Amino acid sequence: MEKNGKGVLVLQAGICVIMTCILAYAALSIYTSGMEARQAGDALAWIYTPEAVAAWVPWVLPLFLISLAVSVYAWVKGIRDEEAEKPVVDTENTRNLVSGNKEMNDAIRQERRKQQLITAGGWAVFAGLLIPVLLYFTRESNFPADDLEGMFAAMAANCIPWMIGAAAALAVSFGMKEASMKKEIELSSQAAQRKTPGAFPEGRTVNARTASIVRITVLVLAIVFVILGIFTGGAHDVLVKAVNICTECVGLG
Amino acid sequence: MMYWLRQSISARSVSALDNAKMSWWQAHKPTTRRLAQLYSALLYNAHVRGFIEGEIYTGNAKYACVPGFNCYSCPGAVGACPLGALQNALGSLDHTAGWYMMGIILLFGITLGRTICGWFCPLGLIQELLYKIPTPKLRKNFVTRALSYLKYIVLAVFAVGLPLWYGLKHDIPLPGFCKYICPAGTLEGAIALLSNPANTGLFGQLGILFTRKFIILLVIGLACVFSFRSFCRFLCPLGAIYGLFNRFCIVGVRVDRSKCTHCGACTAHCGMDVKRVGDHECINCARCMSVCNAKAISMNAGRIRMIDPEAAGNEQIAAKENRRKRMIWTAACAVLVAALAWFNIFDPSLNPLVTTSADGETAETVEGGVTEIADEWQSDAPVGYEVGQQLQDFTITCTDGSEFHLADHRGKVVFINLWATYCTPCVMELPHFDAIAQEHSDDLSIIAVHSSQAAKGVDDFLQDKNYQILFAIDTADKTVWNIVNGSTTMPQTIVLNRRGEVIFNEKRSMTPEMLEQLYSQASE
Repeated sequence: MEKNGKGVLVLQAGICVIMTCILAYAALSIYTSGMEARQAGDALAWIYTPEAVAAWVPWVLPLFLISLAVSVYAWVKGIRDEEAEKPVVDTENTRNLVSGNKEMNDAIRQERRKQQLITAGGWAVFAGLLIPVLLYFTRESNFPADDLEGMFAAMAANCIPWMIGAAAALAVSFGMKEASMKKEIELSSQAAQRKTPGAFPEGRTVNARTASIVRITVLVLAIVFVILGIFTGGAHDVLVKAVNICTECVGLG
Repeated sequence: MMYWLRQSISARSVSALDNAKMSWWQAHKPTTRRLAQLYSALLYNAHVRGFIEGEIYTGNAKYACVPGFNCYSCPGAVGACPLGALQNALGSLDHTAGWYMMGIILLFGITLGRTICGWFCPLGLIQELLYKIPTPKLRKNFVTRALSYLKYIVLAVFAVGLPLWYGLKHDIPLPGFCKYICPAGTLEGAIALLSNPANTGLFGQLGILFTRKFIILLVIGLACVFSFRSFCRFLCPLGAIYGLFNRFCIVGVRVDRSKCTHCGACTAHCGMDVKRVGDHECINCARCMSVCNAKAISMNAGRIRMIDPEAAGNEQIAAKENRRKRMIWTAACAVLVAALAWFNIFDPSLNPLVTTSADGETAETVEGGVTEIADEWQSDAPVGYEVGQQLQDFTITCTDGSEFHLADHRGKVVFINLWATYCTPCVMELPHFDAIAQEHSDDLSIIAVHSSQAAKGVDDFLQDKNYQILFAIDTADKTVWNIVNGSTTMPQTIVLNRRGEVIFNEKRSMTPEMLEQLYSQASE
C-alpha cells in the first residue's frame, strides 16, 4: 500500500459515515417538519414532498461525488485494507490440529471441560434471554388488531433488548471459549508427543447414502407440494400478491 | 506451533491471492461468480421498461418465485420474492398458498441451498459491491459469529411469528419482515418507484414507516461497507432458511475428506462466519478452492464437478470445464435475451394491462340506467378521474345483492375505496371508513370496491365484521378500477363532492382525521 493509503481509507470511511448521518438526519428532519403541518390541523398534508427531498440533494451530492472520486483513485492505485484480506485463523481448528498430536494431561482435560461448560452455559443463557421474547409472543394483548405501529414500537422496546442481550451473551461465551482454546493450544504445545496421532474431529458429517435419501425425499416432497399448491390456488395467490403493491409492505407508509 | 500455522496459512494465501504481480485488469476482472450475480440480477429484473414507466410488471411470470432476494414491487421484477410470498402464505393459511410456497422453498433449498446467496442473489451482489468501497474493514471474529445467529431470531419473529399471529388471529395480512425491516423492499420497491417522476403521487403516502425503513437501509448499507455481507450474515431470514438445507443441497462446495489436511486455510480465508466448508453459514462461493493447496475442495452439482480443483494442472479437465462453461453461458445469454424481449416487448400483460379474474365469482356490472339529477347537483366539469373532473357514472352489484349506481348518490358526498383482503393498510383503514359512514349516514355514501383478483375470501372476511358501508367486487374487466384510474398500488381513495366531481384521488392509507377533513371539504 502507498504511504498515504491508510489516509485515503480513513477519509473514505469518514465520508461514508458522514453521508449516512446526513441522509438519516434529512429523513428525520423532513418527517418532523412534515408532521408539524399535520399537527397544525391539515390531516391531508404530505409529510414528504419531492421539493423537501430535493432540498437535501446539495448536501449529499458533493459528498457522493467526492466519495466516488476517492474510490476511483483508490482502485486505480490499488489502495485497500490489506489486513482485511489476511486469513483469520480458526482457533478451534488449530486446537484440534495441535492437540491431536499431543498427549492429553490433566491441565488440558480441565481446559476442555471448561470449554464444554462455557459452550453449554453460553447457549443456555442465550436461550434463557429469549424466554421473555417468547412470553411476549404468548400474550394476546401485545398484538392488537387496530394499532400496528403501536404494536411494533412496543415489541421493539420489549423484545429487541433481550435479542441483543442474547447475542451479546453468545458473543461473550464464544470469546471465553476462544481464550480457553488458546490456553489449551499453549498447554498442548508443551505436552509430550503422542505415539499415534489422534483422529481430527470432523464434526457432524453426512454420509453419501443418507444425503442421497434426504435429497430425493425432499425433492419429491417439494414437487408434490408445488403441484398441490398449483391445484389449490396457492400459485394464483402468489401471483396476485406479486402484481399488486401493498404500499406499506415496501415501506411506502 | 501457533506461529508456524499462521505463517503456513499466510504463505498459502500470498501465493494464491496476492495481486501485486498481476496486472490491474487481472486483479480486478469480474469472476465467474460476479458475472453470475450480475446475470441473475438482470434476469430477475428483466422488465427494464418498468424503470422507465414507473410501473411494476403484472404478467403471469410472477406465478413463479425467483430464488434470491429481489422485491416483487421493484419496477423491473419479473418474479415473486420467495420471502415475501412465504410471509403472505403464512398470513393467509386458509387461502391455501402454504403448500405452494413450502414446495418452492424446499425445492430451492434442496437444489441450491445457500449457493443462491453466493451466486444468484442481487442483494448479495449489492452488499459485495458496497464492501468494495475502499475503507478500513472489520474482520470476522467471535462477536460476528455470535451475531450470525440473530438471523434465526429475525426469521422466527418477523418472517414467521408476526404473519402467522396476525393472519390466524386477526385476519390481517402482516408480512412483518417486509413491512418493518426488508432493505430490498425499501431500495428496489419504495425508492425505485419514488425515483420515477410518474409516481410523484406516492410521496403523499410517506410517513413514519418509510422514515424508519430508510434509516434501517442506511444502517445496513453502512455496515456492508465495513463488514463483509453484513445483512446476509446477521439478518437475512432467507439465508437462514437456505442454510438449513446446506449440508444436503445438490449444488454446492464439497470437501474430499481423504485429501483434506485440516490446515484451516479454507475457513481462515472465508469472509463468512463458517466453522467448516459447507456448513449453514457457507454461501458456496467457492473462493476457498483457490487457497486449498491439497485441492480437496470442488464445486459440485450432484456427481458432476462444476469447478474442478485439478483443472489448473490438467489440460484435459480444464478443456472439459471450459467447454461446459461456454455451453452454460451461451444458453444463459440466450435465455436473458429472450427474457428481455418477452418482458419488454411481447408479453401480453404489457400495455394495455390484462389481468386474470380470480375465479369468475365477481359481481356483474350493469349498465347504468337513466337517473334524473337535480339541477343544483349538475356538473359542467369534463369526465375523468383527476381532481376537478366529473367521475364517469357506473353501476356495480354489491356483496349484499343491492346495486350501487353512482348517479343515484348525487347530492351526497361519495367515498370510493379500492381495497383487497391481502393488503394490510387496506384492511386496517376499513374501520375508519365505517366509523365516518355511521357518523354522517344521511349525507355520505361509501363503497369499498375489492380488487377483482383473489376475491374468493371477501365474503368470509366480511362475515363477522358488521361493517355498515357497502362492499362490491370489481368486475373481471376492472370497470371501477379503470374509471377511477386504479393501479397495482393499494389502497386508493377517491372522494366526490355533491356534484360528483373528484376532490381527492390518491393512493395512501387514510386516518380518521383525514377522512373527516375530506368529508368537510367535499360537503362545502
